[in-house]
Amino acid sequence: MTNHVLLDNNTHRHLKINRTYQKGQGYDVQVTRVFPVEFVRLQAEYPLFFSRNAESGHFEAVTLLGFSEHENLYLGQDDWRASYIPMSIERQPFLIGFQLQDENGIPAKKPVVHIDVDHPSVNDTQGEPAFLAHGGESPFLERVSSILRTIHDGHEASQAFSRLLVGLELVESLRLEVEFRDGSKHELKGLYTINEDKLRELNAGSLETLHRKGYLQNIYMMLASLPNVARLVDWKNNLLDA
Amino acid sequence: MRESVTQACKSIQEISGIEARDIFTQAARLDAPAVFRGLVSDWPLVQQSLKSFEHAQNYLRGYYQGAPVTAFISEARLGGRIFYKDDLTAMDFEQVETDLDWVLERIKEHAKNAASPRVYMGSSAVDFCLPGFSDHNALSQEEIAASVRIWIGNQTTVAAHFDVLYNIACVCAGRRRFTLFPPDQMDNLYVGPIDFTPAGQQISLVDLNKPDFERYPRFAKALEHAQVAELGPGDAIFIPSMWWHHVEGLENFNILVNHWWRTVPAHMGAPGDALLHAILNIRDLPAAERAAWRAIFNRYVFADSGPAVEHIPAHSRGVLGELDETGARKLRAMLRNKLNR
Repeated sequence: MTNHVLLDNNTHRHLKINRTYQKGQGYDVQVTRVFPVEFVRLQAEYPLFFSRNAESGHFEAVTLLGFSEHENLYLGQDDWRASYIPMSIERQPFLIGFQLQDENGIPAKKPVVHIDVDHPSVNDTQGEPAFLAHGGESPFLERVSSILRTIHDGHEASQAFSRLLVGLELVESLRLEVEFRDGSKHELKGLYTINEDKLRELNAGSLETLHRKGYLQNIYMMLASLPNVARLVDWKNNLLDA
Repeated sequence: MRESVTQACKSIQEISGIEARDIFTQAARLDAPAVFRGLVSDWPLVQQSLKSFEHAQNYLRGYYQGAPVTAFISEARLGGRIFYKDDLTAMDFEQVETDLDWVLERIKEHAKNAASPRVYMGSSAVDFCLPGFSDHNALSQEEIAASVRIWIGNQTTVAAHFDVLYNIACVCAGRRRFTLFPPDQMDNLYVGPIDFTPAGQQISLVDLNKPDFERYPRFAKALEHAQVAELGPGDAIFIPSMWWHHVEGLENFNILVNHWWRTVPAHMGAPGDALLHAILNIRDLPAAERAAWRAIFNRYVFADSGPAVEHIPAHSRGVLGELDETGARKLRAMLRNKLNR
């Protein structure tokens, strides 16, 4: 259950965020959105894919965190099992909402901070306060706001990236079958990756376009990130052994 | 009723012989409101609206490309007053995010059936709402860069309020009555809340057309200082910064195009922000402290000149010296930091 409301320094005067990256603390997701600006950090620790947004039909960059719904293998015994945490995880329980404001005679949808007050990390006693003693923004909230802004800007950049790749037929559906130590097999569906054959066949013009936009680097980081699936398989095997 | 209240009021001075291209410089020199009859009679929109409402509407549609607009819808029984509900707990109109075609349809509907709601679309930036329109229907901006806005509606009324900006407003269709009060009449206007307003500016709570003198006795005094003008297509009015203005659309279809500008450096923000800050940090001080601060404000903020800084070498005056862009930036960063607590 989620309950998204506008964050307000009176309504949420005592609000604190107690982050515990464990099961049942609001982070039990199998897949989460990622953004090209964080690929450099992500590619060393996460496998990066595309997935098709059911609502918009657009391809979005995502990372895989587990093998079944609600399975997040990055949630360890007491902490997140990677040095970098994807922005779409770290932003929680905050999210971007929009408020219609007049900006010099132009009705503008301005991004504002919303919060999921039903998120398990939200409480009044433990963790990082959202607000300072007299209603100013805490350094913690300032950091989250900056992540939200980066995500907000990243949406557009991310779409432009995947749109161009789809146009160049560089995105292909991936059939990924993994086998665990107990002999069980799992087929991952709905994931897309870079079509390496098409990538090799690209003409100089297309390559230059990709390179100029910084997309070529993104493409290779996505490809280089795929072996990280093995990390997930290891973690899953350890769970199965336990 | 309306006539009886403002009929006795002084008329706003009318000035002729000023060319539209000099208007901003000429107006800024005036320290009082002025009306310029026929200043913009040659604007295509004015010409079209003199033919018919349909012509004016079609002319607008020619520029419209679907930009979103904000409109206020007011039930007919309210007589077009864009105002609060009786107890000031909420607004007595509905704000809708819509498009220009919808606004024009509602206006047409009300013209046919007076029981249907009235509509008011205020302060929409023309370059956003009607791209290209200002090339032919705005005052020349060679001297200054003004923000040009369009206001479309029927018989609706916005109570007296002030703007920080200088304003030259041009009636392009229909008729509009402006009732102006000098800044010093604030106390006699019974001004409403600052942070809960119909359209961003605090307004007089007195109904100008039916003033309740028992409840608002000093309003009679304000009327003694009021200045009134009724404008038709092609006429323009200069409203100096800070003058209270009550504006009524009088016809079934009224269009106003106005120009807002300031004469101060762009690094200066809204004076109202400083007022809010002072309410937060000064208003509730003990009387003696407040008196001391009044003297300090008088010295540093309100005095035209004086001994406040002369004894400090010019190079060490900091924010007390002349404020340029660099100084303003430092001050902004400092304030922003201090405010967050």
